[in-house]
Amino acid sequence: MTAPAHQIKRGVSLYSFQEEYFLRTMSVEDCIRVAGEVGARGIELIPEQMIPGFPAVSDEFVESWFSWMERYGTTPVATDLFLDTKLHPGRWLSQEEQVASVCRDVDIAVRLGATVVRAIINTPPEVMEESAPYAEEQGVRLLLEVHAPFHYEHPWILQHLEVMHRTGSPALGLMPDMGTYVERFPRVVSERALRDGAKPELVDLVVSTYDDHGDTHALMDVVNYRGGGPVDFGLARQATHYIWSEPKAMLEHMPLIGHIQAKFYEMTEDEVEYSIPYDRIVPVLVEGGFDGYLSSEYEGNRHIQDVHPVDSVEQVRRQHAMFARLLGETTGEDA
Amino acid sequence: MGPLDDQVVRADSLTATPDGLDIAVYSHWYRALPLPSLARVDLTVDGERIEPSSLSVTVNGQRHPFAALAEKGDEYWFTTDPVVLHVPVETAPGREHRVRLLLGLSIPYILTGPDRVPLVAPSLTDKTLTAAGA
Repeated sequence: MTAPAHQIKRGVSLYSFQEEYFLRTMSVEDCIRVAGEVGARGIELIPEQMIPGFPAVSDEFVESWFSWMERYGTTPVATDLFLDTKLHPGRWLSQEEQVASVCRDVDIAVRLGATVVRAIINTPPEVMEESAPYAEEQGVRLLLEVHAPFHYEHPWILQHLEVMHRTGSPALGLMPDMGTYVERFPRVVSERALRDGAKPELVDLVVSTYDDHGDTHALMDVVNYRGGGPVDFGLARQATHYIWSEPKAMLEHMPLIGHIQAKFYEMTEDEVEYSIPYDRIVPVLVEGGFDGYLSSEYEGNRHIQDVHPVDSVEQVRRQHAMFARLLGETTGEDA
Repeated sequence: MGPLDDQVVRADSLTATPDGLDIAVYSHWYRALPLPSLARVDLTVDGERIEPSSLSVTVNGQRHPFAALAEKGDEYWFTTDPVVLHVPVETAPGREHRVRLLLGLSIPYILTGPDRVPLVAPSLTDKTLTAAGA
């Protein structure tokens, strides 16, 4: 086995197992065990999803958490924060409350031993700036998720980049979501629309416009002109929420990139992602010297759950087999 | 997550109590939500529309009038825990009821449109179930 020419590590966001967790067929411990079994070493958690009693985190949970890490050979890497700006009906959270929410979630990350916190895309730049000193003091990086339909030239992201560059805070950075590299329309989504009664010719229109990287913004109007119903319209709207952009755009921002949310919708039997060209993404990360975690984020469940049982474990296994291949791991097996 | 409608009200969700019918309701969203997110509860039992103002709700072991949930932004409804709707209809153990519930969860971090209105994620249940004894 040759030493890899990179420091990229594999991880799993337990969000990937949301279906099984929701159906109570997998516990948090099961999720961590499975991640370890597919060779992932880093664990990412949504506290609101899997910590009973959130926002309180009991000593009992923390004790179990670290015992699971030890048992399954994994390590806590990241937690995902949300900013519930409409927490209270009728009013917006003040900036002070938003910062307090971020700091609370930094504290949760610290209790769980994670050094990365995903800042959700709606976190304002000024909240990031004001929270950064606390995060730095706690040894945590707040990484803004760059989530579709946003990209590095979008004004919202540019405002964040301005804060990151002006302050130079080591606690601030980026967490690209690979849903920004959807090169072809996920077929699990278009097939679901057909099952839900979408018109085949309108589904073709949406899919072919997307796949040709045409102008998706007028699709909703055109679908209306063509007599589309709510399902057709929903699919057209979905097409504006996926984006394809050149993965090499990450190179310029690589010093800020601390973690990757490896979004995926469908890993085929051949262990490739149907929509997202990881074979062109991973080399960019290697070239840029990325040394964090590629953290699985399976999100296909919601598109197939109407026709057959979801097997998130197999989907994550396939993604990790692909990562192992693309990262040059030579064991030939998953782990 | 897309609605897993058949899990929101489950086969064992109904309980007959001396005060009426208790319905255990599970969330269909993938993360815990603050209690004001339980924004829309359009409930019909045996064809009779139940006014939300007549409901009380037990969450995390505490019973609240439905309207009071809007003030409980600091408390969360956990992913895998049910809330219990206390419904003032006459029932008894072993009795069947047709329960139709349109549950609308207001998602406090996904805001839509120029008025920044939270997304309401709906889930529809229509089931005939048997009430267990308390």
